[in-house]
Amino acid sequence: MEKSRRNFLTTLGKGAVGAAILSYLPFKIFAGEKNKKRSSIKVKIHPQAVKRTK
Amino acid sequence: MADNNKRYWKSLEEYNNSDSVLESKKNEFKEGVTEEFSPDEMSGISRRKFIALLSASAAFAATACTDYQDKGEIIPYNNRPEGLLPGKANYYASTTDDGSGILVKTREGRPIKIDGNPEHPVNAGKITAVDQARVLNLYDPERLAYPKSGGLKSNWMHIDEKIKTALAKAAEENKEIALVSHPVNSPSLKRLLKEFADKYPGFRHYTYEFIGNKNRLQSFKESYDLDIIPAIKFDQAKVILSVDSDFIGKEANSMEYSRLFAKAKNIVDSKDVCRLYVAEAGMSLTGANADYRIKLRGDARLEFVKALYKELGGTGFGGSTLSGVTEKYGIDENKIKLLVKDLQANKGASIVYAGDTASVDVHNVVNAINDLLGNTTLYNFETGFAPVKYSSKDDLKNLIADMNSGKVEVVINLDSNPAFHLPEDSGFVEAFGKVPESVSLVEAENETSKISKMVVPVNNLLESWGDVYARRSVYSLRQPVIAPLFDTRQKEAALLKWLSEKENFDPNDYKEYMSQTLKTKVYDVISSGLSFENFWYKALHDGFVNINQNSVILPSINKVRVSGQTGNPGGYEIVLSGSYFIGDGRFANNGWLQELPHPVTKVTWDNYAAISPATAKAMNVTHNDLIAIDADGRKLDLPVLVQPGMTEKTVAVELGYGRETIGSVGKKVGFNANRFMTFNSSDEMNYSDVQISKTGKTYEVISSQEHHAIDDEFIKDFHKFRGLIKEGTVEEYKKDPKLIQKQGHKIALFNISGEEHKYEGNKWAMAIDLNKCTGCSVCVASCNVENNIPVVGKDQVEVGREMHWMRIDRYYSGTPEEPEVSTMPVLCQHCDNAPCENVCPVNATQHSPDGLNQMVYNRCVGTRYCANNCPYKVRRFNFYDFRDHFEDSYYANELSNLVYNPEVTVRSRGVMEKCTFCVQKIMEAREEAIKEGRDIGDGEITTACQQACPTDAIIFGDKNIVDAKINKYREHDLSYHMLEETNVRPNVTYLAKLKNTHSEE
Repeated sequence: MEKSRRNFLTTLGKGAVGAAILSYLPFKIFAGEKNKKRSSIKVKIHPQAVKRTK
Repeated sequence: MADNNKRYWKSLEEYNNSDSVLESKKNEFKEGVTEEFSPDEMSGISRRKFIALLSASAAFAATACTDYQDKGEIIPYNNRPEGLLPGKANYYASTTDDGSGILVKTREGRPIKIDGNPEHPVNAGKITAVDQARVLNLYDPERLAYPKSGGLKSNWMHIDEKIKTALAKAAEENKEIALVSHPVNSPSLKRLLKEFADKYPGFRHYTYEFIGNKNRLQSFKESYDLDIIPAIKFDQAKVILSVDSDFIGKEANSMEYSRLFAKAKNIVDSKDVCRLYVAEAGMSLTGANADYRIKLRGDARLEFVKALYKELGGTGFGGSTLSGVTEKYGIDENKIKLLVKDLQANKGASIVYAGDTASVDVHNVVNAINDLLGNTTLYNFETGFAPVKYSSKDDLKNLIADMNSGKVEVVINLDSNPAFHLPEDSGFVEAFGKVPESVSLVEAENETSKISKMVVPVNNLLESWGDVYARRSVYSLRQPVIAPLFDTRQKEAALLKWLSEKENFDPNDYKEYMSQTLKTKVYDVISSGLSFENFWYKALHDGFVNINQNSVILPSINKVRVSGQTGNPGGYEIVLSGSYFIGDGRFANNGWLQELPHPVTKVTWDNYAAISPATAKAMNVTHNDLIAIDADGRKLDLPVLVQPGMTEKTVAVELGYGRETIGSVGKKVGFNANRFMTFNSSDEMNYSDVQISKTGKTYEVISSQEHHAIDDEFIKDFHKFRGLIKEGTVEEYKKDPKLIQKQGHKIALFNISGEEHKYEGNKWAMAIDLNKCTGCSVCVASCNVENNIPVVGKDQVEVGREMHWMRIDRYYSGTPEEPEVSTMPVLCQHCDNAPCENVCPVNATQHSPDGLNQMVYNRCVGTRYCANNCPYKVRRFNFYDFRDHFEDSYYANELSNLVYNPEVTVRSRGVMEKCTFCVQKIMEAREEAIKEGRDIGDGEITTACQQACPTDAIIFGDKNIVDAKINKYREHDLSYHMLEETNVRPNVTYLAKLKNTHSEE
């Protein structure tokens, strides 16, 4: 089946616009659990430290 | 009159008017700085290709959506940690290894800045550049995160079991357990080691340090039978003679001594200031600040001090006369005569001080000179240094012999690195490999941990408890300000666990142990009137406890015999010393410290062989030529740096470089000059009769001294007319207090807009007293940390892309053989008629109502017109996102990001930046003042550079407050503005430096 270059680019462009819109949605349909950000570093003030003013 | 015809120069190339220097001044940026940005190099692109690329990128973009990366969430604390208010900093007092009091600033639990504890009696709120920058080590991505055994990941239970078994085996078989560390000054750790020795009779503790008070301590033992050494009251000295001591530079206690020296040099409050003589082989920071600098070979120190002692009327050491020594070594006789005259005229108010690297014999003679002149009145035993044990060379030789012969069962390396530091010919590495069990307790891998059978990760300083005798009368306390980030233990707690019979490890055990020590050593012997619990919290809050010590009555001096060692003025010698910023190499993985320009040579990211211009000429070598140095078979090739002011035939080399096992930042940076050291020499830091030859090869050493140069090609005698540096002498100033004003510019200054702008409210300004500024660069280090300055790397410094907002310009005047040195901190001058503002096409740099020259990063499009138009060359452009660009994104990770100050924008690629006068601190003070319904008071705001300056040379304030301290400096007779005649109306005032030389010169 022959498809003109114009049609191909139009379809591609529409797809790109659709993907861009999807990526701006508040829910992430493509986001796998493995991609969820999990901080490996836990920052915690030492509970016995005695703070002071400058 | 001041020498108005003095010519200043920053390098030998400039002194000789070389083409490269003229070119660099003519061009705004260094060659190569704009590479990779030429549009000419872009290839042509057809419409077909463009559309194809567009389509492909759209397809890629769509594909990328399937790999969604979560950016994380910002949520409020559900349960806010006690004492933590988001957006507000917390402060904690603590202490460094050497006992300096520090104040750690944390934001949302993250330590982000270390400054000095202002109430601490020793360092009084000031810390070294190393201590400023060491917060980066906490967030080093290559810190050890878990224990290792046999090179593989292990766990603490396994390690504990193995160590305990090995210790029990050693005890059973009556074998030695050796613990190697740096000298210990912690009362709790000393107690712990004693308990170790009590439990295991075969336990031995070995210490080493090649930079420190070792020889000075030994000399006080020999001269006075004392185990302590006094601090020196430099503030009360009228005349100081430093014998190769860099007491305001790289030596221990430089912060306190810088402060005291600056007091003695405080020309604003008194015209009676001290005079500093420095006799040295290399060119140190202290030498650069001397009123008289005497070139003295390292191997001639002993002859010199013996002859000086004789000249001053002392008997007993023998040796040549002073005139004989000056003639033998070609020392300037005139300076020596003035020195002797000054010392004799100021008996009891002068001090002779030998450096850390001087031999025990030199220290002994120096003690005798001070005793002879009655200068012992300047000894301060009340805050003298507490006794510290150093192992002798024989002790270390015995350890190595015992390791070789199988007498040692276990070696514990307690956070040191003997495989790197001890001389190669000591055979330590080979012997260490023969020990059945070895364990290294280190924060990051090093040369010793690499050859250890077990490696255990220890807490960073900011995660640890501890105590240190800062002085015999000052007990400093360390507390953790953040819970350990990884599966680490503090080193003392690990030892305690191996000593105790307890099943489980409790990190609080060492805290309890330390509080017991405090109770018995301090609380029980002083009457504080507090319960111990309250005393404990108060001590942690303050960071130190003052304790009374018995005063020391100085006994009469012993007749000490010193060797008859003489130097050989005809031969080459090597003089070794520690690095200013990476010390003995332990801070080599800190990018901020590697990139801080050397305070004298301005070299970054390297060490080198510094030689005098005459020596270079005689050897037919120049900058970057590799020379082969052979010290009795111990060989190393080093690049040459031709350093004005060096003693002829002396090669000065800094240690701490050339690390092999370290993180990516410090690996193979520079050359390992420890190779020159040997156990077979009485003087570890000085080697005579070395052989030097050219290799014919070169190695690029990068110096920032000609970067950001100011264009002077268009005018002859530029410095004379422009007066970047203005100087005089104390004598001239006494005769004519207006002498600097008379050097001033004879043009009327006017506002470029025609109408004088009135600054209502605040108007910020800064003053820098060049009489107090030593050029130590602590201000630069502090600015880097406060303002999130990125590390760019050697390749980027090479093309002038370093990002420091402050630089210390170092000028020479006189001849390359006998130069005088002047330093000048240069930062954005926040000009009222700022030329950068006029040329910005997008108004990204503009003026605030309180007189600040501001940058709006979001507006900046990176034309760099502002940098081009800035006469001071203080603007820095982000050619890259340097966090990502440096060392394969070394500092672009979740851990390293924690070091950032959240009050300061992290700048991106394509943006211009520069000093803000720490606007975030101004805003913080303003918020407080508004909240309390008052004006901002004088002295309420301290900029990062001001806070760090060990000599208080920097003053910041509101010039609209009439009696503000800043106005005292702005209106002083010695005040002037840099490049005043350009009419840009700078708001940084400099106080001209006065040398305290003799008028008869």
